Amino acid sequence: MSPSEWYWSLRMAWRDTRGSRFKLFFFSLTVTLGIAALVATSGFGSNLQRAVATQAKSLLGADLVLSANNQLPEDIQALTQGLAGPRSRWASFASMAYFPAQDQARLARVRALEGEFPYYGTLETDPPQARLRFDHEAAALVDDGLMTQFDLKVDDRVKIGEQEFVIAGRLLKIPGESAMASAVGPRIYIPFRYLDQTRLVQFGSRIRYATAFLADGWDPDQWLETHEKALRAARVSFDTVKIRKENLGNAFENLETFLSLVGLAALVLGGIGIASSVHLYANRKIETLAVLRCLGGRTGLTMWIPIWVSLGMALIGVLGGVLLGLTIQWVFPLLFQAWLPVDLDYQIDAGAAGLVLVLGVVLAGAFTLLPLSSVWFTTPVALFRKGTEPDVRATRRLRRLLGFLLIFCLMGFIVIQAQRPLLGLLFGGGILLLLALLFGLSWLLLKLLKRFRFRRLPPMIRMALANLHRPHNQSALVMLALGLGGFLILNHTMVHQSLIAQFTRTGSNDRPNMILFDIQSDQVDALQSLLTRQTLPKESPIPMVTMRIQSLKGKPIREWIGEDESTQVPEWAALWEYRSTYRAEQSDTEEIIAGEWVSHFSGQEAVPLSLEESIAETLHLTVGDEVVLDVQGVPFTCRIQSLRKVDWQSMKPNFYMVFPAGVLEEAPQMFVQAVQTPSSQAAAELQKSLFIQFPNISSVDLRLLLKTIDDIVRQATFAIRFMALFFVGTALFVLGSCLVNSRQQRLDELAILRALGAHRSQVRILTMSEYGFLGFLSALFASGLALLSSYLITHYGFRVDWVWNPSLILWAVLGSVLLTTATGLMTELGWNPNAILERLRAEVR
Amino acid sequence: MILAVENLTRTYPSGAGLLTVLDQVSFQVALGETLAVMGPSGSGKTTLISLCAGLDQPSGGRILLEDQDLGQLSERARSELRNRKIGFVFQSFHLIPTLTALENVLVPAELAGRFDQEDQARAFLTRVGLAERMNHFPSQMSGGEQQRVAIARAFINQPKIVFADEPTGNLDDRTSETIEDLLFEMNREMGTTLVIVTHDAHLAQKTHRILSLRMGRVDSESSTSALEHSA
Ligand SMILES: Nc1ncnc2c1ncn2[C@@H]1O[C@H](COP(=O)(O)OP(=O)(O)O)[C@@H](O)[C@H]1O
Ligand SMILES: [Mg+2]
Repeated sequence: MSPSEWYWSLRMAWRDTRGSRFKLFFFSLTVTLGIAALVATSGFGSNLQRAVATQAKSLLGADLVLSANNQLPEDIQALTQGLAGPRSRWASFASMAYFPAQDQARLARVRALEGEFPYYGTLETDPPQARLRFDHEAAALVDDGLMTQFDLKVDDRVKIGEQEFVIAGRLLKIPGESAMASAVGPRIYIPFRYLDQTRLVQFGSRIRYATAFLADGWDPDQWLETHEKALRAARVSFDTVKIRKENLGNAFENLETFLSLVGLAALVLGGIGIASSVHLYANRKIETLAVLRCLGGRTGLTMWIPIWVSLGMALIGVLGGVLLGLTIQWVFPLLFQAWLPVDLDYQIDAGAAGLVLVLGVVLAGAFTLLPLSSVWFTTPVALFRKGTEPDVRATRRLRRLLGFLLIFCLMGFIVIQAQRPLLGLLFGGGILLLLALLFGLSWLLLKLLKRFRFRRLPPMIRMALANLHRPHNQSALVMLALGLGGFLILNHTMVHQSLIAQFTRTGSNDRPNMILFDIQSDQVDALQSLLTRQTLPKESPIPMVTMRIQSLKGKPIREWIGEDESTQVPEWAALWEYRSTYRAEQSDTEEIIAGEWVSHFSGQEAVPLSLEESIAETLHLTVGDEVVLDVQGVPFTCRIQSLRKVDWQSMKPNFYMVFPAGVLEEAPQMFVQAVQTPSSQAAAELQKSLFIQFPNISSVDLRLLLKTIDDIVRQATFAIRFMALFFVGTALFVLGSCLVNSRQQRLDELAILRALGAHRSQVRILTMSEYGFLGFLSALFASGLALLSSYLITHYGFRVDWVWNPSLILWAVLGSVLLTTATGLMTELGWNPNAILERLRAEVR
Repeated sequence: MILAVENLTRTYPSGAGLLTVLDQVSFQVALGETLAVMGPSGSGKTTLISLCAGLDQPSGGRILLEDQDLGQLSERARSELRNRKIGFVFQSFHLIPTLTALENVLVPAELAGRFDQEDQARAFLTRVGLAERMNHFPSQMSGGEQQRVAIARAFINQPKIVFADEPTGNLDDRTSETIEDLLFEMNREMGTTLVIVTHDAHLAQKTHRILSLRMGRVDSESSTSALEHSA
């Protein structure tokens, strides 16, 4: 084409919008809404994701934590030398804490801390600045529950080993500590430099040393990948946020996946907006193109006219959408920040905006050409009689080619937007399948409608039904848009409900949050009635029998002790007083990784024993090995029957050694019990009554740890709810404006009907029933498909239980019918007698 | 001969079989001649002149326009031919609704790459009596006025031959007469060949020859007194 022809086509395009600029602008608005949804969704999505990710870091309190039973070995220290960023270290150990004022002692978990740890989350204390006293005196921070139990106050004293500390404050929230540590007893924090003064550090004492790193420009997981071998060889444990998150289950991954799914759905929504408005416009241009063909215009030239207009609409729509989306992102936090549990900051995602722009252009082009594809290969005469002749083969081929091109591009966009190719492909494939299904269903339905005459129905309703299957009617398109939009809304709502259910389970609701230790056998019943009196939900008491190792594999334990951990056993492990339990069932926080679980002892020569994997490694034991245990004076010969991997993050008491039922029942034993306290007042009250009635029972309040997890869960839950709601809101907008656009087409025919003497009320019934019927069917299709797909997604994709409520479907159908009939009503309201005449005149061109 | 039609056949698929709308139609039109095509409704008149103007594809036979076989041309070449050599006036006007009268007239010129024809178009519109309506849109004009714009549009590229399909079929008698006169006058002034489909025997008498169609066949071909007049 020559420059003058380009210019001509542009000018014709501009003229083509005469008299309908407002309408076309309205079409663009649909695009705008869809794109705004996409931009805002991806903005909020990454925002929320970052917020939750930051929050999740408080699970560990640092980016990387290395820990070992000794100070970090030289070679490992050398490895960490180059790591940029601050670091902290601590030593933690179990020790008796003695409170001189009360003359009481209690086993506590002491952490001697140095540095700014935690780097993520805050160590909450009362008073808030209590930790500052670490800098200039022998200060200690003491577990809130312990303070309550012993009625301790700030500036009281606590003695650990040989060093006395002044109590600087209560510990309220502790980021970065795992539940395993807590199971030993309440926590006390002291400054690292007083560690030696306690005189608790001796050869053989079980002290855990740790160093925590804040990564400044390096990736802890990548660093681990390189050095994992060396760390394992040196028996240094490692922990990163990623590992912690994995231990929390797949909840976090699910959150990310859900957020990107919402982004993808918004992309499709934007697509619907563009496709529907451009398609509606282009469909009306067939006649103009036919006239131009008659006058000798080449299709290759004249086709540019509607393409320019479509592109213009798409561009205006997309630009408006990007602006609106950014505005929403900017204004929303200003208005609602106070109510949000997450800090929403404002950011421009240039990549997303660019992608959207390209998407807009491609979709606009394709959806202009699709309805106009017949113009290329048919004669002008056939064009005037549009719809009465079957398409020629070349037209079908072009249409198919365009279709494939479109699918290809869409899949590309989806994969780019998804950032995870597999997820993108699955989603894209799903959407295609869905479109095919929806298309097939609506085609089938329209065919069926054509077969039946519905003689019994009132004439206007009969006409409405007949209208649905007229050639070149937009029913199929409207049904497709409504069906797809409705599907996305329903599907996401259902998936979001299932995910919320999962997160609520990960959170501390309905979970024990206090553990009671050292319950004597004869106290069990009295304690149960105390708990029942205070109406606290509880789990059944778990028996605990203390024992020591007498010999390993036939060799007395004394002979195993040594510092070479590859062949010898460290002193603490050899001399440790193991607290073991017995039970027939496996607990749900452990998993057999070798051997087999034996539930009952049936009197064989050796007692079948189940060992936790890390202690098995420390003791150089594996399945089949023999151990003799000294249970308070009575030797038991045991054979290792299974090794267990234990989820120490779980808030349940876990054990190194588990006996089957039928061995230890008569041995002297104590009990542990998990209790759920609904509030900190309830917890304090329980601790007070325990102190009075059972002074020997100690309690550990897990709330301190759970609070960190709960905060994260609350944010993640909010993120999911918010995005689901936001998406549904924008989807409704887009669908609404799609419908309003499609009604434009109706006006012409209605004008004729009115001119023929139809009553206003008749026309109203006609349009309302026509649209209502469309809405009803689309909602029905959408619901059925959404039920199926949300089941598949939650069950196979997220691996969580599928939750659904039937009322949702009811609401969807109701909402859809309401939306559509309202549109039908609007169609009718829009004109007066003069408008009828004008419409009719416009018809006669 | 400007137009030669040889054994022209047009069929449409209909139900199980074929519907033959034109059956072996042959005739010729000489340069500068006027021809009326007559026949009852449904006899195939529109189909015939659409084919002659290259707006449709024949099922059999040949159409030669200035000795060029329309069937041998590519769609692109046919478009160009339509643009340069053929004018067409439709029964239902087919103006482009978003363009003014002036712009509608200019379209064929612009399609031909001539962007300097505005004065010419104004002259044509003045000639058809629409000097005051240049910037009106089709929906602002009466049927007769719209058809005048269509006539001006048909002549703007100075075609060799103009086809008019019942140009007055949608108009009242008085308007019809002025439109018909206009068409004949323009045709004479420009030295164009005119093929006009009409029901109106009185109008047909103004042409040189009448071609009668019945059920898709040539029923009769006759010269009129107008031929003797001009001769
Ligand atoms: N696309 C088509 N499909 C089937 N039949 C057609 C088609 N176009 C025209 N016809 C039939 O061809 C016959 C002639 O049509 P037409 O040329 O429009 O007649 P006329 O202009 O003489 O009134 C009519 O019977 C019409 O029904
Ligand atoms: Mg006709």
